[in-house]
Amino acid sequence: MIYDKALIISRYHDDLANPIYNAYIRGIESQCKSIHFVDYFDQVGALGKSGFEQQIIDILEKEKINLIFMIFVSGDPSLDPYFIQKIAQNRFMAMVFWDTEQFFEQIDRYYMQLADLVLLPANYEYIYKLKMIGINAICPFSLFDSSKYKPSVTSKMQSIDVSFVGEVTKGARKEYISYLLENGINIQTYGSGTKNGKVSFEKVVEIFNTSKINLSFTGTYDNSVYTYCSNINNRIMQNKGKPIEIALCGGFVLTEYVPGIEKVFNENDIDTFLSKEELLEKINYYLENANKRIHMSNRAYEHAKKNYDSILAFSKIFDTIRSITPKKNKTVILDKVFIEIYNTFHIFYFLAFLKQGRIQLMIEELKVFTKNPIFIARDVLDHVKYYIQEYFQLLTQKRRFKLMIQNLDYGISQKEIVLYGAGKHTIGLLNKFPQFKNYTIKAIADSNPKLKGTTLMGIPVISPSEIFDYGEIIIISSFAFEKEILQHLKNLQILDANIIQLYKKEFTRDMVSNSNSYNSYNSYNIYNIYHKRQQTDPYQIYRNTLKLR
Amino acid sequence: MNILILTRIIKNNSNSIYNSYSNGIFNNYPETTTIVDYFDLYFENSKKGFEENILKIIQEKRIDLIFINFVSGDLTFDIYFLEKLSSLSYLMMNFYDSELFFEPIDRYYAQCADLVLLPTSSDFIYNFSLLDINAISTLSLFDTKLYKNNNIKKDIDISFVGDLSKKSRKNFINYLKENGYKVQTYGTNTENGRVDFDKMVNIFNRSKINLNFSETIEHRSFDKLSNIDYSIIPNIVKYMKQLKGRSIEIALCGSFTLTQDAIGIDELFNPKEIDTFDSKETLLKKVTYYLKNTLQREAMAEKSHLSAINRFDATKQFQKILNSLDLNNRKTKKIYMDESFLINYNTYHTLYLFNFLFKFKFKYFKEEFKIIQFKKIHFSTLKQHFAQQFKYQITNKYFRKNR
Repeated sequence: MIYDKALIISRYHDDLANPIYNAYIRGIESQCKSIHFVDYFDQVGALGKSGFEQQIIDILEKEKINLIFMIFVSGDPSLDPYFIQKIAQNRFMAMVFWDTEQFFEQIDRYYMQLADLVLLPANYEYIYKLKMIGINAICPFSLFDSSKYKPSVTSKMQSIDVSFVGEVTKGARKEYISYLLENGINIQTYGSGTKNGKVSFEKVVEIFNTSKINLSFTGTYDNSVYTYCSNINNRIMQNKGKPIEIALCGGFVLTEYVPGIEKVFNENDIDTFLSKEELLEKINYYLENANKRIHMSNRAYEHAKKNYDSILAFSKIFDTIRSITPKKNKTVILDKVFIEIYNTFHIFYFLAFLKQGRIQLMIEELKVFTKNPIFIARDVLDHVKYYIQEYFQLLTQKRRFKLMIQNLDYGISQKEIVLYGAGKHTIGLLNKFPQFKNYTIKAIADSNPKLKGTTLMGIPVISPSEIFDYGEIIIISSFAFEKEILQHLKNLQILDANIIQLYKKEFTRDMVSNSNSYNSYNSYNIYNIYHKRQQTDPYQIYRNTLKLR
Repeated sequence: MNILILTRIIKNNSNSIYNSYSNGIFNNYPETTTIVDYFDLYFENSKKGFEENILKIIQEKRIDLIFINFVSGDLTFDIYFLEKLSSLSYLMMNFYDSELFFEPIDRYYAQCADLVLLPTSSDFIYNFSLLDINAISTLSLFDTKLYKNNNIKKDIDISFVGDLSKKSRKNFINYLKENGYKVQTYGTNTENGRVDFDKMVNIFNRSKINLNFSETIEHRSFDKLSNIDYSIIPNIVKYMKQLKGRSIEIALCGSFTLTQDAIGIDELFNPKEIDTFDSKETLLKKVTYYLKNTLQREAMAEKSHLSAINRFDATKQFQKILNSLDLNNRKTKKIYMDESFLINYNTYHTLYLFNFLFKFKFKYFKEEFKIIQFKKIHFSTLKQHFAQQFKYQITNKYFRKNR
């Protein structure tokens, strides 16, 4: 069977905060003549359940697509298994699940039963678990866009002895790191709960590049966080993707042992430890033996580049896909636990629609969980409490943010403006704050070279180096990358007085694009429609596109 | 090696596998093996007496190895008592029907084991290895002396011995009948009814083709006959097929097996020894073929017989297993607990609660009452236990005495 078109139903990250989703999309794209992408989380938020489902069916039928990839967010029960069953009939359904070690029992397997092939990024043992219930699965391990990871240049550039990037609160990590510090090891830690705090993707690559030894710990879970996850699965150790990322940067990996790591790298590529004493011993050894360390990291780099680059790996995955005949009958068997989680999760959508006053969509959600009204009571209560709290906090922050935007007027209304950031933040900003329509916005700058020459809501997108030709005032339209953009603008010798930052310390969240799911609808498809038509309501846009046919 | 076996002792071999495992170990260490029916021990002593008795045996007989041969879906043991046992001795466990009970029961108990034996396919072992539990696949083992190859005349064309209440099994059998084949069926919900062990061996010997099915239980409910609560098994397990021991039993009688396909079937026998089907149409085709080709069928039966005697004899296999154990290699056990297991445990113990109540053993009743947390319980199963024990201990004893 030839599959030259694919529909990817997943989550889109237009930044590199979680590069793995984009890496998989890149891999699929490389094997198809065309792909269509739908961000299911945003689209359900924008169109509601039936609107989203209709959109998917329309794309599949119009484009005659017979290959679907579903790349699920960890433990996400947004989608209706019966809808997936409907679109999976007579098509090849491939699915990817992250963190299935945690969510297999309660969520993932209920979707997996509809797959013709499951791709597992971690523990290969699940291949056999799935085989037992008649599901084809392969474990290509975690795949990455290797072009985003730069190998380290020379060992002379390696100024950090030992580094660790990740959460230090999990498992025995904290204890191990303290033990190393007590024993005089110069270890730098980055990520939540660390001295250096969270760092951007670029910084992570830089750390991997400049560290002599990069530590990795295997994931162990605290399943008590989720009311529905089984504590007994805390016994499972996760085969993480971090060693692959380090290797792609040419860094040396010293990782906690997990069964199956020998299938990812061999002992000549990386090294492992089982206890803090062994860790200390190996750190001292590798710090003294630079040549061995470099030799191993070079081997690991070659191995990772060959096996874990998403384009190369998807070429093999597509061979597997072509060798499998899709199942004739795809049946759905559900258990109480899944239905409870599914219903409980949909309370979130219900509350979102309630808040937006979108009654029709709210009723639709209501129908979802009144069909079989079982819930996880504690979680429902938490959702409601959280929502109320969020709502009031957001309301206060929104007022302040709105006031701040209004105050911008006095200084800039007569000047030529460039917005920096051609993403959903800018779309939201232009839609939600009418005063921007009165400004003279000459261009939108973005560092993504692919966007140069396109338009966003009728405004030309330019590269940052062209800013001087278009405007005097630059407004940074991004929450996540405000700091990085600011630095970039300073590097371009732009004066502070001409740069406007929208976020002050008091704004701890994105006040434009992520303030609610209704505005967080961005995906390739809707994004393209926006380029063509300047409409404001994504729901209306979709309805209009239906009318046009 | 001093061994304590905690198992079920089946008097008339109606389910020979429990006795096969016990005999397999006993034959290797006849002088130093103690066999205890743990069900009887609990029914006679309640929890405290049950545990004290076991500890006493361990101490007096200086037990090196405890082997618990669990009854499917059984929750008699307190997991923390097992944790204690594992601190005193090497603890080996065997779970039947783990394809069904792995999630609700087996994986919790297995946390206390130094080694788990499984009659499943080797792929199933990964369920345990993911949890860092040491497990091996032994496939089903039998006391081969119990099975006789009588070389008698094969006067039954096709037979099936087993539970025919499962819809899919019925469909297969009916399809053969609709196509003109006579199929003799024995067991629950069959035309010939249930048969004892000797009769079963006789049927295997007399049948040209012995059928075997691999799908798991269809109905998720409490089974009054076996006292097994199937309602605790997730529905999605229905996709799983079990590697049943029946084809080994048939082969031990020197007869021919035609079995429904299942993962791991090739670990039991090769295609020159038995044959498989995956649909009604294939079954019909193969039945027609093997009834016509007697020589080939008998040659396959002979090969499978030799293979079964050699590979599935409990005494021989336990010799290998016991010789391979390093009794000093015992890890400290860490127990993870979930509410679902506690609910199942509490619910199961209402069986003992009502047994003691209706036997008027009020001291034991009180003891059991204290163990059970009634907030965490499946009330539908509790009702089943009440009705069942009332029937056995009151109605049958006092009102049907003369029947």
